[in-house]
Amino acid sequence: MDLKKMTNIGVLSALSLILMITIKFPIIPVVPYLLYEAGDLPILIIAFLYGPGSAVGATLILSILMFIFVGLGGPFGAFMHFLATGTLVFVAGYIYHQNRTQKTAVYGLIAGSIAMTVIMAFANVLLTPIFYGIPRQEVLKVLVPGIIPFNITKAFINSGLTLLVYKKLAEFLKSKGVLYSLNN
Amino acid sequence: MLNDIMIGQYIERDSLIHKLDPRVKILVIMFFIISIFLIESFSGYSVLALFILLTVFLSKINLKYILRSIKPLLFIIIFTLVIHLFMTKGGRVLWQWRFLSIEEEGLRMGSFMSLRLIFLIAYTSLLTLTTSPLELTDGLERLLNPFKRIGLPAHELAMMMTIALRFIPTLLEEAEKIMKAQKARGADFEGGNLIQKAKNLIPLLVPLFVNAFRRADELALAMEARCYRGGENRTRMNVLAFARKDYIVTVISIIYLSLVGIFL
Repeated sequence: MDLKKMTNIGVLSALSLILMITIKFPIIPVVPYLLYEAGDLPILIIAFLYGPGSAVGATLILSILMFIFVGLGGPFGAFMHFLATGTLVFVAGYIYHQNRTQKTAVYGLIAGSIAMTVIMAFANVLLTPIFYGIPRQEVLKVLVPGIIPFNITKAFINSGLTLLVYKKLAEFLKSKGVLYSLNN
Repeated sequence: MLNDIMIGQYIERDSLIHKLDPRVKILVIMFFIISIFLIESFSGYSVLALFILLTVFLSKINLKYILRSIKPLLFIIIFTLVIHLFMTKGGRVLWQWRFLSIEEEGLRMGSFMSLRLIFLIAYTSLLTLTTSPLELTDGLERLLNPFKRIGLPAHELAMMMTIALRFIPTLLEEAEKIMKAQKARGADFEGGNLIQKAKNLIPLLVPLFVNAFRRADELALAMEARCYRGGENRTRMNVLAFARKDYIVTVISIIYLSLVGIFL
């Protein structure tokens, strides 16, 4: 693996954890324990720079760090987070790397957000009863008014922020030789 | 705002548990998780509780740290308990008022599920309380090595994790500085609606990213200058080595947990 790529992913993973613990607030009143946090941003940047595989690797690192340092939700929280962010960044990175344009970046983020929401809906229905012992019918009750809106909102905020930050970073990254010219 | 964040959970102690090889602790945790999902009786939980208390005792960690790790999940634990109390039916009616009632089976299921969560969080938090992050990273790399055969880059993952660990305090300090600098210029990170909150994050995020990339750049240069060329043919300064106590603890724990999971 290229050394600069490795250090970039390492440092951005650390940044993810920091954003996760410093920037967080509830966004859906129905499920106040589901907090928005900005930890997905650096992972999405990695997905755009280095592709979906590297982004999933970074998500794995982040989830392990999450378990080590933060402990929120224990191993379950970390695992659910890996599923959610892993799906988002994989789909977004995959679509973007088919053809690197600003348009495909937007398409990728939208598709990734939708995919993440779908995956997390299923994951919550299937895994929450196993992990937390909450009856499945109760999960289904909170699914439509709580879990799905939460994931959609979180994903779109992170997507919007990623586009804004990426735009501002682009010139800096080009001068560093990290980001190559877009196809358009 | 950032002062009350506890970075890391490791607590230094001179104890048997601290001295164990991190691979032992990771493997035992995995067996514990499997075991707790196999248990279907309260007597099984009693035996498991003894196991947890023994480990806590041997680690010389004050029980209050274990309790603190359960706190973030208190909402879900109580939620689970209450849901089962009122929704799960079966057995004798213990209490009733209009359409609300608590029955024996609900009480049993609620207690059962809540205890499972508590035990799980308590025991997994012991891993992070008794093992330093670097030790954990080391242990994980060694445990992931067999998967190299199917293409998993174990060394690279471990290296990236070590880099991330090293930069967490540095970047956290940076984040705090940038936050204060921007606040001094009138930035508001807490007020406003969702859109405003998101927009207000830009002055914080962009400098953080630029800083992160710059540091990564410098680190890559420094590593290259010191002849880093990848995982092949590298030696290790801190070598993990199994001692007799590691074998003994592994065997005892795995047998114990397997028996508990199978029979209780």
